[in-house]
Amino acid sequence: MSKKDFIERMISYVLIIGVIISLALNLFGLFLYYFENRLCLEIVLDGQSRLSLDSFINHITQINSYTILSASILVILFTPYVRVFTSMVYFMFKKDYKYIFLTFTVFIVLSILILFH
Amino acid sequence: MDILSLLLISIPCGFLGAIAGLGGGIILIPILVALGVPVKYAIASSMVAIIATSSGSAAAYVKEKLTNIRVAMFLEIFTITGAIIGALLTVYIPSKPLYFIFALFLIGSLVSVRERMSQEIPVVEKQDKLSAWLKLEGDYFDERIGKIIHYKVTNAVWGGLGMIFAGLAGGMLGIGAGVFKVSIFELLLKMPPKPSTTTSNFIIGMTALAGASVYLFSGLLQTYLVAPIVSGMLIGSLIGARILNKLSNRIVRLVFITLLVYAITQMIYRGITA
Repeated sequence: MSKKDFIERMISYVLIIGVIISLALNLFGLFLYYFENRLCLEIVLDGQSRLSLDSFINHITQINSYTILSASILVILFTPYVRVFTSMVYFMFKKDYKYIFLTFTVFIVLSILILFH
Repeated sequence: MDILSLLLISIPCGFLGAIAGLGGGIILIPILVALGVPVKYAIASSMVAIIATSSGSAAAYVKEKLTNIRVAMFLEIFTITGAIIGALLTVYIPSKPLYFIFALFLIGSLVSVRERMSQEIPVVEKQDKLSAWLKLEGDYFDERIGKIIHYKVTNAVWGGLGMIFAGLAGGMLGIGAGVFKVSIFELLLKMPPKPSTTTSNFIIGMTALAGASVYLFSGLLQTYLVAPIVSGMLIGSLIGARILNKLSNRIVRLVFITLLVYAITQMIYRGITA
């Protein structure tokens, strides 16, 4: 792969790593859920199964289906965010000012949207 | 409703999404609602599902250079602007006429894409100044045709404005708006079908993140509902991504047209019942 393809390779690695970690955690979490619920796969939508960052951080040391599945969802959720950041860093190294501007703007807008809503 | 059914239902949604350049939300939401999931949970789950399809398929597409990174980086600003405006407008503008406007746009796309069915790869002889300045061009190896395809992108300004419209539709309807994006890539930017669907897939992950983060903080994401959907979408999109480059451009367009017709029907239905 040539130097010209480096951006594709970098972004591809970020996405592949995000997808593999998320999928592995997800399947492991579903497996745990199956045993925690006495071999039952039925789900109930209630306040206890709500995904929240606070709840996830409070239970982060516990290995149970809720924590593992929450981690898997958060990994896939923030994979595009890491991807935008990686692109920005790449264009900074390349000193490609047009694309630094474009990726930096997207990164800032995305950060504001995530932090202040 | 159980985990296995949710996982199995999500696999074909992720597969179709990866091939047609959509996140799959437009297919998944009605299925979840039919299964008894409240609409707000279905929309919130579909936002995460879109990111899963996007990341799963883009992981392969970017490596194969099917996705045009520069075009994506340029257009992301416009689509995110449109999504923010769309989310704000939903509060002030009645949704009924908008569904019909979106339906009309998609009908126009349907007619144009149908006319291009016989044209395997569009040819752009001369780029506009902005597209040339931004170096909006690319090449990829088409496994079906068996050769490297080099293409140039044109109409960057119109493409940007079109992406604001697509972002607007996504922001207002709570979907990734892949059908709008693929239409703009094909019809305005004159990109070949495969880079159109793959670049659309790449962008919708980023725009869906903006929507999904809102749902994350408002508590609408249900861990045990979202998790099997994410698994199914990832598996489906990974399979779809392995197949796309082996398909003819005609098949890719046919899959897209089928989903386009489905999207038009949904827009008209929602317009009538809104």
